Amino acid sequence: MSAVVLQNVSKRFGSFLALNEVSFSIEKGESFALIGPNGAGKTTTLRIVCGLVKPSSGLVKVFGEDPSNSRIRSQISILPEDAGVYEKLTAWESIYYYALLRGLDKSSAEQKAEELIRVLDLQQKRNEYGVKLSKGLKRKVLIGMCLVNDPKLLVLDEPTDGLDVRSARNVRELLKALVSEGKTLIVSSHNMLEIQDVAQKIAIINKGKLVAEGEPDRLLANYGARSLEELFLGLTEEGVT
Amino acid sequence: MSTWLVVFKKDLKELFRNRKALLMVTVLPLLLFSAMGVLSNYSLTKTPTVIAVVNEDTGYANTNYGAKLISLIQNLGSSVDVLILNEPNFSLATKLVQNGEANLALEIPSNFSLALNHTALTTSIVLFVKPGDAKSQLANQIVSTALSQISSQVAYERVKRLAGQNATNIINPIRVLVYVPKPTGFFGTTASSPYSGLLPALIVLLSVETNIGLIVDSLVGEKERKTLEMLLLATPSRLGLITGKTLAVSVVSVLSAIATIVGLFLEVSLTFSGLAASITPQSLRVSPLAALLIVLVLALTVGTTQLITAVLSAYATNTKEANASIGIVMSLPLISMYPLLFSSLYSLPQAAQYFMYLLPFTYSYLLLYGILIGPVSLFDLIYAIALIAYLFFLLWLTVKLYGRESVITGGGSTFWFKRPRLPQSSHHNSEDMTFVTGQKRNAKAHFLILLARMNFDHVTIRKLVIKPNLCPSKLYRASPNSCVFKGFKKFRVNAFYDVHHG
Repeated sequence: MSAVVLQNVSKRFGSFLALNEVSFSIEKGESFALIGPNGAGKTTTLRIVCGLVKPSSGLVKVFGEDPSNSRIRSQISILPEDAGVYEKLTAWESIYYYALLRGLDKSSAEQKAEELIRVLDLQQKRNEYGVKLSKGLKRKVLIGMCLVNDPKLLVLDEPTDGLDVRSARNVRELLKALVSEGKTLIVSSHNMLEIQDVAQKIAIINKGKLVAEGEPDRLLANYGARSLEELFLGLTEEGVT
Repeated sequence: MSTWLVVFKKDLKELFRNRKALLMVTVLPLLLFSAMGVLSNYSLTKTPTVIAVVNEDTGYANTNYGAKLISLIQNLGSSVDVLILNEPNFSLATKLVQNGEANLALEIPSNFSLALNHTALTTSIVLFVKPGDAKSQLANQIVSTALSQISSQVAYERVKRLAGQNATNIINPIRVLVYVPKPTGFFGTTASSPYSGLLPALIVLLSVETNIGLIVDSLVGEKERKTLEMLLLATPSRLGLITGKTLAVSVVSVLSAIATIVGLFLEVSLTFSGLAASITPQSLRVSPLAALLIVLVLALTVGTTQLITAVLSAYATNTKEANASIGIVMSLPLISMYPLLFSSLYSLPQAAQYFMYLLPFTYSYLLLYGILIGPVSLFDLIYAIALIAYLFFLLWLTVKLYGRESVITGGGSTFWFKRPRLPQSSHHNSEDMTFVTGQKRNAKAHFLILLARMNFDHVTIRKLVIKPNLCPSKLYRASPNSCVFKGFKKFRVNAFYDVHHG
């Protein structure tokens, strides 16, 4: 059974067609990258996968079920682009709060928060308020908040956006480690090097339509492109839909 | 732990950690009002109320009513300064008042004691008051109280001389027995001051108007900080989320409302402290049970207000946009409570009464009226049920609105004003667009055209007006290249546009 299946999914916001007959599938334990220019429909696709937005037409299955089902939603975590942390909660408290929200009891939530603080290398900043954390540290806290429920499917929109080189690399290593643990990962990013490093499969979306999908090497060979950037630019230039 | 409790604890923790804001909403009203009271009191008592007296009375037959009047005036206020002018010049006394050196000028005539000792004679006292001066008014009140005491005493003695022992009955042919039930309010509250009638409306106004926008920061702030999406996915119960957030902001709002109300009462009591009882407004005494019930009504009122704000700002994408809804929320209690500051609900016209019953604040007012002034009847139970029902309805509505995906995707409009949508087309990049409308003056069609102009740059937009009252199919046939608008018949579209490929 595939982790995620989208079949002919369209989404319309009033007169605006955000997604047009998009279809792809992601296997369990696979890392999948969704790339496309701004406004292409990446965020809408991610929201549909998480069950936060319903498609206007088409079929969406996550682990074989409707993602709006609360049992399935408890196995998914999302990190939106530009997400912020709670300014008046410490790094530890933010993670602990999400652990409680995800249904963990008090002692399990405390243990989980401690564990994630250690894994994310946040020990030095565990008692700092969100407002005082740097952008990179905020991103780490947010990833911690996403991991409290030990999700089977992790959806990350621009996970390393705004991070310095070292922090971005640490996050990428963490994501690869999560995939090696068997978690399914969907990443949306503008960073082609990151995509090449993390993703086993990619999909290029442009103006709401899926224009290419497959393993990066195979796509490069099929389209005769030397790099993902060249492939991306070729497939998303004006007029190509 | 339940979702509402987790959210409530976390939000309350965040609110209490914002020390500056917390001090502003709780301690500041207390300090500010107290400081105002102390300053007013200082102005009324510590700086003496100066009464310039021209006393021409030298007494008559071992009595000196002039001196007695001065002594009474001095005893009525601890800080009354009687300035007796050496020369009998009233115009000099009035000049002192005009210059601000005295607050009131009083002239006691030379025949004052003589006239009061003779049954057939009357006398006149002349007062000079400075208009618009609070201390001058206070001085006037003090002198009037003293004169009234002397006048009553003299009248009694005159009648006694004429009629013997029946003087009291002659002076007071009608005895007025004022029955003030103790306690006046059902729950041991005494609010017998002539101004107590405006207390319920004042308390509702103060509780509603303070921190009206806290929920905006709590709910729309999650959107603005981009934490809402994660939160909605992580929270199993939308009801728990909204309940927890509303409860947390209501706790702070109630604290703030209590601080404001207590501060206001402090101001009044501090202002008049040290002044004679006859010139001080009666204080409000509240039993512990009444205080508890007042706080409960405050909590219900504050919760209702926060939820109305939440409903109105549900589609706002940022706090700035959401704050627009606050104006509407603030005007509702103002509209409903303002007339009640001057008259009772039942003295309003019938239509106004019906309107008032539509607003939740009216039920808060009626409940507070029962608690503070009484009497309490079974109707109060109905009012309490109505207020609670209102609260639950608003909670249900907020949960419903926050369950819609447009909360995340940004509907871009507020609840009370839904932006008309452009008819659907897949040709947005076309260079030419014609709007077809059945009416020349159609506000919605104009608005759609305006929206199109704002949304599509480099597109020529034309308006085509065709015969009015055309049925949709005829309208469509009149312009066969036009795009089809879904739900055309259902929503009675005001305009649709025709796209010509450039």
